[in-house]
Amino acid sequence: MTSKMTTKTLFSAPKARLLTATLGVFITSTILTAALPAYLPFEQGDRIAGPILMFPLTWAALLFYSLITPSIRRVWTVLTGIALSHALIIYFALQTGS
Amino acid sequence: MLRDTLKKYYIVHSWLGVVTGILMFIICFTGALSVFGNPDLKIWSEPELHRPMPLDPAAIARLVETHGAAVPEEYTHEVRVLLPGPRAYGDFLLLFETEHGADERIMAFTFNPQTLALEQKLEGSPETVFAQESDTLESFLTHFHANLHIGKLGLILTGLLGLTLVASIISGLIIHRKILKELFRFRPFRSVRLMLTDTHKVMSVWGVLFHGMIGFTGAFLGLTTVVLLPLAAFVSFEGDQEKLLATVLPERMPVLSGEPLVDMKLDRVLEHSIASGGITRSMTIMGWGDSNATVYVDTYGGEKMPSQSHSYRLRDGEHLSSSTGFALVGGVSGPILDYMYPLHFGNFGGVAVRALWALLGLSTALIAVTGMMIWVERRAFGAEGKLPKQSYLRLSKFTIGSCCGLVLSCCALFWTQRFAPALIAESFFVVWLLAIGFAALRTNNYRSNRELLGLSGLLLATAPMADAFLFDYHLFNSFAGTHNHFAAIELSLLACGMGMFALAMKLPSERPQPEHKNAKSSKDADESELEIAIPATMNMEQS
Repeated sequence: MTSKMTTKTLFSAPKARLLTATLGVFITSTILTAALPAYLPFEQGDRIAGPILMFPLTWAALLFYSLITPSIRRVWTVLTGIALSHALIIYFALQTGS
Repeated sequence: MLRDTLKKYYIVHSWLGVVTGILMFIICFTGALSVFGNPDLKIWSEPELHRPMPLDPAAIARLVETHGAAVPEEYTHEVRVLLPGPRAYGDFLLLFETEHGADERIMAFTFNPQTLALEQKLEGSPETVFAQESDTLESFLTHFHANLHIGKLGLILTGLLGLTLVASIISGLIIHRKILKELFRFRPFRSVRLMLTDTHKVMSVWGVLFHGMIGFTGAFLGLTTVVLLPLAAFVSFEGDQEKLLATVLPERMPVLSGEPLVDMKLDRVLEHSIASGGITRSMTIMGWGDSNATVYVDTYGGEKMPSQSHSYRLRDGEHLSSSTGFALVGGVSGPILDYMYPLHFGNFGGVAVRALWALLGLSTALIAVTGMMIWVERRAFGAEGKLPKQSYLRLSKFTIGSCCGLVLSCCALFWTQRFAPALIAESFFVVWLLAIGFAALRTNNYRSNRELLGLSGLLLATAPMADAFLFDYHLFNSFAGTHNHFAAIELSLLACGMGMFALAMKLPSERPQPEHKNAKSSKDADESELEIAIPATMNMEQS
């Protein structure tokens, strides 16, 4: 009983958090990985391969952020912000063909 | 606040382990076996490779020249020579290919690796030609490890498992506050929980660099081709993956002179490559028939850890240049990409590295399964369970059936390879399902664990004895010195099988009772588990 209450208070909105940590984090990290080559200030090889190599760490960082942060609203704000801003970067990169 | 954060990491670590534990064991155990895939299991699987196989450059060059002159010109856009031998491709294959694209076609000639006699000729699309290759023990296990034999979905699954391994390691490092103390704390005889907890922690801490590397490279190898590379191509190359690959991989087609090639020195190229050290795996000829034709020789296991590509001029066999696969990427990423594959599979540095990689891979598998068992133990026999005890014991039965069943089905493959090689996949899954059913029906989990592992050991230890009746070359006539590698593999199987059987016989057949129940060992178990993450004060608060 006590343990159940502790788990509930530890993780606010557990179902929404679980969905965010699994699907939301994977989608955000893939969008981020796809968009990074458009603006990273490296040589072409590093610009393309660097984000791919960093993907496991990007994903892990977002996963822990989404699980540990007390406020689920803040998690949504940050993940949505990252995903939308990078989706826009991808859009403009495709438009300009760079 | 810190207490709550640590408790969160602890819960995340536990649930990551429980959700992925069985699949993690499956991937890591088959990965540990796959380390020996090339050359050891390949030699064992294919009787043609039991004896040493010196390459004859002149004979190989003659075969390439003869067949190259006979095939239609459109098939000579790219000519690939997959060399015979246990560390190369096993069989000797000659592939004549048209230009890459949707209409690509291949003409393939397969030769006996010992006699170089033509065995088979195939023609068709790459998919149909390569679909003709039958599974062996070695190819089945390595493909099962890579994609679970379910194609791209399997690659994504193994990639995701690599990601969860990375996350488990990070959360484990955060919650293990006394990492140095845990390096040397192993108490196998106090209680089941302490034995499991200490085994889990000791193996995790000692092998943390290896586990991290395997998780990282596994995630990369699983997800790159299916998810990440298409994404990178989508943004940077308008979805054109070929264009992306052309940017990061060197252009192989030489500038053609229009002059016909009078004499090809493929034998000289092969001789030079063999003499340069490393294992010569394949040769690719570009610009066939032109005096500027170039040969690219792929080698691995030489002085450098990554595999290398050496270019030669075909008309005089002169060595032009050497580079690694991702040399064009350059910067920081190029060398890291080059090291990914050899680091994951341990195919550098010989048998000592392979043995070390396999042992560490087994420890990763055991960490996954001990993590599952700790979770079950704490709920079935501790205070944390919210469901009936039988529910946790059912999960325990499924874990034993899946994990020990996998060990059994892998050991049974050694017999299937000899007596029903066409049924490798079928026998693997049937034995595995039978083992899961057997464990589910048994009432005593400890006995089913013991019996499944004992039977696995027996199957493995007796496989070399069956070979004594089947082949001219086997473990018991190795004094002739003609097949030392094969005999050494059989000796290893015998030793591993006997060791596994002896270990199974030492396992308890009932759940051991703690020496001082409810006193010191129980207290130690609780403290040992909880001090990972949660300060004792919080534990007291909860209770």
